[in-house]
Amino acid sequence: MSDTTARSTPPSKRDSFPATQRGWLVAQLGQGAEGLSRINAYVMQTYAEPLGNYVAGSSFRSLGTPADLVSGFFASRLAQPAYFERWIESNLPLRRWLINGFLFYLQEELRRRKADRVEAMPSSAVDEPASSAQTAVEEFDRLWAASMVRSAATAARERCTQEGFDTHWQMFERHFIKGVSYADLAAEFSVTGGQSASMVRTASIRFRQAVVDLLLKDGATEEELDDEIARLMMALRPG
Amino acid sequence: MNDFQEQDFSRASDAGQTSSMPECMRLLASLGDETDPLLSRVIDRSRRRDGLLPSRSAIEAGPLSAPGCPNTLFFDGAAGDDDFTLALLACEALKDSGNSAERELAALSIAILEASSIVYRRRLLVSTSSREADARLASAAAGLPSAWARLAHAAMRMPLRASA
Repeated sequence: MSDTTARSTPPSKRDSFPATQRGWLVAQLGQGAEGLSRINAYVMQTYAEPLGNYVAGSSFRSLGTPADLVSGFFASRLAQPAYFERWIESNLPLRRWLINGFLFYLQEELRRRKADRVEAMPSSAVDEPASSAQTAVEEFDRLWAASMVRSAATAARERCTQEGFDTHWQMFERHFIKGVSYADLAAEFSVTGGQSASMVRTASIRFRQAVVDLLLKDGATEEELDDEIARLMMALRPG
Repeated sequence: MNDFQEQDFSRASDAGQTSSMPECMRLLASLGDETDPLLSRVIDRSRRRDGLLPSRSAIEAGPLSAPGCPNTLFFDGAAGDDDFTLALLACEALKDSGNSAERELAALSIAILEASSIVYRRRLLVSTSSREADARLASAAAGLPSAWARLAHAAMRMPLRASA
């Protein structure tokens, strides 16, 4: 069975992204080996953390370290010819395509080790049922959303620093993470209330752009962005 | 295949400490944090300094003038409840039916009414929470002429009545 068939139900409208609009990755695919190399680097850099965190919290964790399992998955899948062409045909967000593939890879590993009768294999890993695909997808969405937000925050913070807006970023974080009012920010940073709103907005726009960049690379279209952000907020919501 | 073997998961745990799930959610929620999209547009133009913000005379000749002189009523604090109501209705009508510039003028005028209500009556007029008022006033102050911006700044520092 291929990774493509891992989804148990057809993608819903919200899951579906027209292949022609998958901007950056599609453009890279058109550039041959160099482009593919950039895609692989991007995927490893962006998705290794949430995939590793997913497996660390799953019943597959006894198969190996998260780093080894993610590396093994990337080695087995990213080296396949046309792996990303098949992703485009799948009409799935990239993260969904990757978690589907990762779950298959983990199950393959489980079967392989059972077949090999690896003595060191802990029995718990062999006996545990594979986690439900839907549960896994939801959990991975949560981890991916958090990872994506952290990456976007890092990118936006770095851009603010490069542009001389360190203070703007600090105010943005104080306001949105710590809940400090604009009035208190104004007092804390010795600016007017209007300036505090303006400075927070400057950082906020850079954060938004960083989020949008990552969502577009994951396969969302411009039209899907608001829905996608709402979905990720739902995924991050506790309980 | 060496590339695939060099993933470093220390990054993941470090990142996890940097921003917890609730912090990530707050950051993501910031993307939808616009008390009034019209004021967000005003603040963006203020940041760009492109000179398209409403002038003091435009503000004072706008819907705030419906009950009388805006300076006397809302800047100096002579306005009664009926004056606030009349001005707010005029602002909302302009916001509903005006062109883009008029709608922004209406949003700024509503923020002025909010500021005046807080400063002189110690109660909110349109915002449903102190946090919302704080955002409305700060955003508006970024695009208001200096005299009216001072009123907004004063309101941001003003405590509300306990019953408000």
